[in-house]
Amino acid sequence: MEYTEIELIQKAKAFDQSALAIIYDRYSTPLYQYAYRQLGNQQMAEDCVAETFTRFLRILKNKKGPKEHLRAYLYRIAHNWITDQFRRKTSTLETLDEQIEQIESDQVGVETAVLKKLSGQLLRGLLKELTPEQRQVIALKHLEDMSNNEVAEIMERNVGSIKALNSRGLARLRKLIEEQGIE
Amino acid sequence: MAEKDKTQEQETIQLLQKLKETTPRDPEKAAQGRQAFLSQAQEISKQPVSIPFFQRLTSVFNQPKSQLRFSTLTIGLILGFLLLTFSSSAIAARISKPDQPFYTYKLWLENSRLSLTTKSEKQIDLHLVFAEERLKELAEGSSDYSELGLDRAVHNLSDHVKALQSLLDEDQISDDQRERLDDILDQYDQYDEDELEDERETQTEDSSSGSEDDEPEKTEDVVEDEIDGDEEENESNKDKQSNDSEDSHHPEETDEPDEDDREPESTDEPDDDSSDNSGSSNEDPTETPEPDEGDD
Repeated sequence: MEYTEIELIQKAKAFDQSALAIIYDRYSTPLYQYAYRQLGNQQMAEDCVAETFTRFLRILKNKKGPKEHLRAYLYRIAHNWITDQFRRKTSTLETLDEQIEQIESDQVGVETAVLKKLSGQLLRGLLKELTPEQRQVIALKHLEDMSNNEVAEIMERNVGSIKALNSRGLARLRKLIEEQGIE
Repeated sequence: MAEKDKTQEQETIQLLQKLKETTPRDPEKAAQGRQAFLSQAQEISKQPVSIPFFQRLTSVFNQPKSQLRFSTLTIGLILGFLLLTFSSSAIAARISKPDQPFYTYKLWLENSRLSLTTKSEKQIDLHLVFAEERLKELAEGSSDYSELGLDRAVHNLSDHVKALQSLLDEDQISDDQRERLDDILDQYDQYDEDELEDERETQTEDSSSGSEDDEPEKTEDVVEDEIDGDEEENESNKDKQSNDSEDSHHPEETDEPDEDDREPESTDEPDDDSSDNSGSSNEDPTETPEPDEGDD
């Protein structure tokens, strides 16, 4: 049965198992990808998904939560969790063993793959240098391919400020890339 | 310059595309995550909810529209009931008299109105209206009211008059208001608290003196004694007169009166008729003139 987002929210607030299952199936993978693109670590991305849904359940239990825009709400929870991880300054980089393991399994040319991986991790490292809001805009707009309106909805801001954040974030990132000499 | 920026921006976006590539999610982990989430949901749904007080108050507005309509109806009914209760009690208070229970509420409402009025002109008007109302109440039935009811009304009237007098000193009263105040003051004199107090004191004194007089038994005794005494006196006078007349007939006993001077009681002894009342007659001050008669 197809539910609208508002119907899903109402049923989720009543802890309807089928509605909750639909929500998980619909949003867990996009959230996983969103987390992975920023963290570059499978396990941490899984942790992000698990923690996002746990927090969502607690919020529902306290009779709070979204009235509409469920996707935006879940992305906000995930973003906050990712920002917490960055603040803790724990290494979000995959261990070298993990990277080599994945490269071998991908059966791509080792040299090219390593370079690709390393440049990816360096980029993630540079993203960490942006403000949380700049990073969120860039991640949603350029990694998740969302429109300005969708990003504005998730961040609860107007489109103008999203454009400004995007512009400033990209400029800052460009500067950092030039400093690091990444191509 | 702007074009260069745009190109650089495009290059940066191009670089970011590298991050779009993700390793596919492990389906087993995804399934485990789903299972964990659903069982967690089931567990959490069974736990008791502790909603903060403020949230509980505002939760009515977060309810779905269908439930909200019911809640609005309930709230409307409660508010309506409260409004009805308040207005009916206000009306009851408005027509209450000093002896009635709602009278205190009436005075409280009046004081509240005064407190909420900021303009001095309006305050004066209210003081005048309330003072006139008190006078009307007192005129209608001051004699019927209990002391407490009367006190409350007079005390309140006094407050209004004092307030008006102070405002009068400050020349804030218009001519029309001054006329009304004069009328109030004329009538107020009879209810002036001090005068009423004096009156009460006087009444108390009167009642206490009245209680001293109120000894009917004693009074009767005294009256009886007095009557007895008078009768004895009259009889003794008669005896004396008869003795005198006898003395006049027996001149040799004229020395007797000398003895009577020393022992006036002895003159009574012969009167056997009055022997029963001798004690009281001796104590009776009305008998004191006898020695003088003896002297005579």
